[in-house]
Amino acid sequence: MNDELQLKIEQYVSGSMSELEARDFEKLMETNAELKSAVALSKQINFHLSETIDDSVVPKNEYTEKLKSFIESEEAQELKETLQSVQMERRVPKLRSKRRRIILAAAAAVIIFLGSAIGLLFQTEQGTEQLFAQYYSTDDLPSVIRRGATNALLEKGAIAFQNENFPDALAYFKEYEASTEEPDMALYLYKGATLMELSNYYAAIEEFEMAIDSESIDATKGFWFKAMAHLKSGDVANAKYVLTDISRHVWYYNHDKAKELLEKLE
Amino acid sequence: MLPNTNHIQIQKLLQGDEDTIRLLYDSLFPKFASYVKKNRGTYSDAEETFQNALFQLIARAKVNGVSINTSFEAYVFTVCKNLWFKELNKRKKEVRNDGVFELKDETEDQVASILAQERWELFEDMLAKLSEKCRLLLKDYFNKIPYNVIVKKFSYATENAAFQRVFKCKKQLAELVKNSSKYNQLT
Repeated sequence: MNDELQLKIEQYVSGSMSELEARDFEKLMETNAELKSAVALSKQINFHLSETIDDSVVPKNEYTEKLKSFIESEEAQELKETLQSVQMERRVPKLRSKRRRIILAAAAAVIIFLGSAIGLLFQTEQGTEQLFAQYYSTDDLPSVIRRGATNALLEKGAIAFQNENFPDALAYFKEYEASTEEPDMALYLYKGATLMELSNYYAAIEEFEMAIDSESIDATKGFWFKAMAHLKSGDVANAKYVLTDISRHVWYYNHDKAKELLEKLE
Repeated sequence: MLPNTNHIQIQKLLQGDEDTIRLLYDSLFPKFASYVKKNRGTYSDAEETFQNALFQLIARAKVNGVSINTSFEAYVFTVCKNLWFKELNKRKKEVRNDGVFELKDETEDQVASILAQERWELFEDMLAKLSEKCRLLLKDYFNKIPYNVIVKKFSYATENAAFQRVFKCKKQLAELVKNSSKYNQLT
């Protein structure tokens, strides 16, 4: 497939063709199976990269038929029942499980605190600076633009941040925050990262904690940035405390990186 | 003979081994329930999604085998997370359509979710084969970072040069996906 046709696929998939052009393109697709599947693939890639829903239709082929026939089989129904019975059995009283978690968390905190205090004695400032440079990346910040057209101030702030104009970025973020009752959680991460660049670590950490409390899908990024702020400020003990928390939760953002960094800090 | 499953836990799941399922409920479900609750869901949502994810994993392993390159726990967590993300997107779509939702056959829905997870894994594998610069560029482009920022960040001469590069990286990714033996099953 030549580049010209590939380019048309991009225009069609991104919705940048005129209505007339799109209609002509769809007619062409009806008679060209290769083009039709290239368009489908292009859409799927876009879904994947922009983390949106992949609503591709289920194809009819040997594999999907086999899946359907297994799902509807007696064997599958029996397995489903086993899963359900274990689920019922494992429902534990909430209080007991919560109390156990609190005790475990407290014990872990004491161990981590002692370990961190000893580790702090041996950590050099130069080492933490190097590790910060190695692990901190603004690529970890979420996108602000796809979150709707109403976030112009947030978007301006993000652009100023990318351009390393941190005082302006902070001003935009504050203006955005004042303009809305329910700010996009990305604000907290960007504002925190900006404050960190301006060496205001205490305020930066407060912003990252707001991100953690936001209950957003990106909330666990807050832990990573909080660890980075502690590291940049030279507070290795607290950096290790947060990193330990991340490393204990496999679903937290940058879980593997946190484990790796923690090992280097030990 | 069982299909290619490189983790003993998957083979145990296929046999309906209750101890393996119990272990997953004890070690992984609380973490997932907490994740769902932090992301606009309830405990019941977590239970339903966890059940569906395990069932879909079993179905997939039974028919085609599942090969995992990471820890079993991390893998199952990713499957659960993707399924919850899909459910959230579905709910958003229903809200946009004023509560009107498509009636879908349950089996068809399960198959669609299995294929979506397999495509997700395939795209992640193929993305890893691109150069780091290509990966970062695609990530920024699809996160809608403005072209002027991309131009500066990646040191391109013009916005058109940046667009051409995005185009080439995506084309490269599409080729990799298309040429993988797995892709035909998923489309």
